[in-house]
Amino acid sequence: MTSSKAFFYCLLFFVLGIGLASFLFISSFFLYFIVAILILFLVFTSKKSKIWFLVFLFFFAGIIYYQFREERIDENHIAFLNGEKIVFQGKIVKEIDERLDKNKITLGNIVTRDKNLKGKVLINAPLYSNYQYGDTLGVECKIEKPNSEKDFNYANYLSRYGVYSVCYWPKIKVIERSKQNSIYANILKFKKKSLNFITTNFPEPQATFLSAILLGLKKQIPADMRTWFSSSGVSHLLAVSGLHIAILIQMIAILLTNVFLIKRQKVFVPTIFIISLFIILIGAPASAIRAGLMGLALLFASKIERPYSAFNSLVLVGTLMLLFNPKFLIFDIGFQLSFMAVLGISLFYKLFNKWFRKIPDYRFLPLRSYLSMTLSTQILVLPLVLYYFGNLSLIAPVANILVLLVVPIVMLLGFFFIFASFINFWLAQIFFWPLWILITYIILVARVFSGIPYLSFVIMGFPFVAALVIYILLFLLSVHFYFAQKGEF
Amino acid sequence: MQLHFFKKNKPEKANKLIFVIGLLLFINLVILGYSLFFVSPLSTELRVVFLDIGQGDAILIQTPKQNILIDGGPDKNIVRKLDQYIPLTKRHIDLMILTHPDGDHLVGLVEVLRRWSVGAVAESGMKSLNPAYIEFNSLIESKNIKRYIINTPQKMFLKDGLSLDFLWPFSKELIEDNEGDCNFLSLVAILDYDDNDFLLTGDATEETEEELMLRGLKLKVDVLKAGHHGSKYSSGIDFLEQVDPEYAIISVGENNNFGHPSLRVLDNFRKIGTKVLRTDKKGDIIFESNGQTLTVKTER
Repeated sequence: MTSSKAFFYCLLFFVLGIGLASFLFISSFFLYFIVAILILFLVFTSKKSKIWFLVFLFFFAGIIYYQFREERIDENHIAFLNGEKIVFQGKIVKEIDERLDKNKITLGNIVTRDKNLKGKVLINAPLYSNYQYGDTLGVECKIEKPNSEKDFNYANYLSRYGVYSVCYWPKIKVIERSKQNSIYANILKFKKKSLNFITTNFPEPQATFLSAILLGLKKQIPADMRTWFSSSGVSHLLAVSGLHIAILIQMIAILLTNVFLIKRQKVFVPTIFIISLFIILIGAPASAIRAGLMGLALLFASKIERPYSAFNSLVLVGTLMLLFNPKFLIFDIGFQLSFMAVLGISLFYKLFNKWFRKIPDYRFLPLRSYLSMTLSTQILVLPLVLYYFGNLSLIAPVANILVLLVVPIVMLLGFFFIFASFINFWLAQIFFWPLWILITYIILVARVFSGIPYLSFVIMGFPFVAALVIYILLFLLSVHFYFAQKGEF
Repeated sequence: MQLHFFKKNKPEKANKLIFVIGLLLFINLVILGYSLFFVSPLSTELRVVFLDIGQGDAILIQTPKQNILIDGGPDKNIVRKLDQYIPLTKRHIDLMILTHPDGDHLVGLVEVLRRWSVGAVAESGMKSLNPAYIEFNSLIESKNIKRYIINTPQKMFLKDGLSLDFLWPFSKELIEDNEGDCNFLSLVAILDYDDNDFLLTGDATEETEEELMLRGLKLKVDVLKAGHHGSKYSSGIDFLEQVDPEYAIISVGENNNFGHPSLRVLDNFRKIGTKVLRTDKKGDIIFESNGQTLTVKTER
C-alpha cells in the first residue's frame, strides 16, 4: 500500500470512529483495553499487516476523541441547572442573530451565585434591544433544555455550538457595555453597516436576497420566498452554506479563466483573495470558513495535478474540521452538504464536461462549465437533501444554470456597491440598477420555476438506506469511469 | 483525478447588435416580470390596504400623490408588504401614524423608519419603555422627521382631497394621567374621501367606544376596522349599531395566542348584517375607491 493510500485510510477510519461515537457511548475502559491490544499487535506483527492495525487504531482514536470532546454536564456547567429559575450574568459571545420577529443572543462566561460556570445559554430578546457583541448582560429567567419539534432535533442542532440551555422569556439588563475593540467586533460592525446600506437602498424582496447572498443573513428570509428557491432547486443561494461557497469558488475560477483570461495556474491567488473578502464580510462564521477551506483545497489539488491529491486533501481538510468540532459530522447538515458538493466536483466535473462536449462554452457565457459544475455539485448532495428535506426538483439543473450565470456578477457588483456606499451615497447608486435588474431576474426565475406543476416534489420519509444505496452506486460509477478513463489515455 | 475547468475557447466574434438587443430584451422581460409578480401599482384614486402582517395592525393608504401608513404590525414583515403595493419609483411614506405604542402596532414602524424615507410621524405622545419605542423616538430625532402630537380631536387635510378626522383621545390630560392602559387611549380616526369613509380604531376598547358615542359624533361609515383585533373588550353592539358599517375588518393573526377574534364580536357583526373580512382568512384586504363607489378585493 502506498503511503498516500495509507494516509487516506487512516483518516477515513478516524472519521468513521467519530461517526460511531456520535450515536453510542462506549465505556472508556473497554476502549483503552482495545487500544492497548492494538498497540501490542502493531509492535509485534509483520510489516505488511501493521498498516491494518494502524488503521484500526485510528478508528478507536476517533471514538476516544469524540468522547473526550463531549462536554460533561456537571455542577460546573450551566446546563446542570436546566429547569430552574435563576439570575445570572453572561457575556455576548457570538454575533446577535436578528430574526424577523426577535433577536437571539448567545451568552457565554456565565456567572451565577458567585460561581463561574461552563457552557452557553441562548436567550431571546425583543427586536431593537440595543445589545452588542461583547456586552455583559444580567439575565433573570427559567432556563430549559432545548425542546425538539417533530422532525427537528433542536437539542442536537444547538449542541454543536456548545449550547445546552435556552431561555425564551428572560428579563434582561445591561451590566457592562463592551469596550473591547477586537478584530471580530470590528468585522461585525462593518457587516452591520453594509446591511444598512443594502436595506436602505433596495426594496424587498431584493434587499433580503442581496443580504443573504452577500452577508449570509439567511435567517430573515420569509417562508414563501424560501419555498420558491427550494422547489426550483436553487436554495443553496440563500444559505451561505458550504455548498454555496464551494459553488462560488468554482464560479469565480471559471469566471476568471473565461472572462478575464487568467491562466488556470494563476487563478488560485485571486480566488483566495475574493473568497477571504467574502468570508470576512459575512462575519467569518465557522460554516463559511470550513467551506472555504474545502473549496480551496479542491482548487489547489487541481492546480498541482497529482492523482489522489484532490481526494486526499479533501479528506484531510474534512478531518481537521472534525478535530475542531467532532459534532459537525453527524449533527451539522451544512458540513455534510458542503463536503459532498466538493467531493462531487472532484469526482464528476471532468466526466460531465466530457459528456457535454457538444454544448458550447462561450467566453462570456461558459454554458458547458456551468452545467457540469451544477450537475457535479448536485449529484452527491441530492441523496442527502432527499433524506433530510425530501425536496426533489426536476427543473433544478435549468434553474441553476439560468441563475448561476449571473450570481458571480451580482456578488461582484454587490461588493462594489457596498464599498462605494462607504465612500459616497451617489457613487453607490451607479450599481443600483444593474444589481436590481439581476436580482429581480434571479428571484423571478426561482418564483416562476417553482410555480410550474409536476416538476418539484416533496418526498416524505425518504429512507436512509436508499440514500446509502445511491451513494454506493455513485461511487462505483465514478470508480468505473476513473478506470475507463485511465485505459483511454 | 485531475480537473479541467479551464478549456480555452476560440474567441467568439460577438455580434454587438445581437448582444445589445438581447440585453434590452432581458431588461424588459425582468421589468415585465417585476410588474407581474412583485408589485401592484395604484390603479384608482384611493386604495386602502389592510395588510396581513400576522397578529397586529397595519394599514396602508395610497393616493396618486401620497402614501400613508397607520401602524406597522408586530415584526419586520411589513417592509416586504409595502414593496408589494408601492412601486420602486415612489418609495416614500408621507405620513406615518402610530395609534398607540404596543408592540403589535409599533415594531414594524421602526423597521420602516430605518429603511424608508418618511415625511412626518403622528402619534398621541403616549410613552412606553419598550425598546422598540425608544428606537422609534431616536430614529425620528436622528432623521429629523416632523412629528405631530395628536392629543385632542382635530382634522388633518391631506393631498388629493383626502382627510383624516381624529376623534380620540379627547384631551391632553387623559394621556398625561394615563397609567399603563394604552388601548383605551389608542388614536381613533375617520378617513374621509368624498362619499367613502373608513373608521380606524386601533386597539380602542368598549370604554373608548362609549366615550365616542357620548359625544354624539357622526360615526356612520362604510368600513370599520374593528377595535383590538376583534377582542371581547371591543366592538360593543350599541357602538356597532351606530357605526353600521357595510364591511368590518378584523386584523388578526392565524391561531393567535389571545383567542382573537371573540365569538361575541363576530355575533355582534352578524346581528347588524355587516360583512366581516379577516386578514388571517383573506390575506391582504384591499379597498379601492373613486370617491363614489367602493370595491373590495382580497389576496386569498
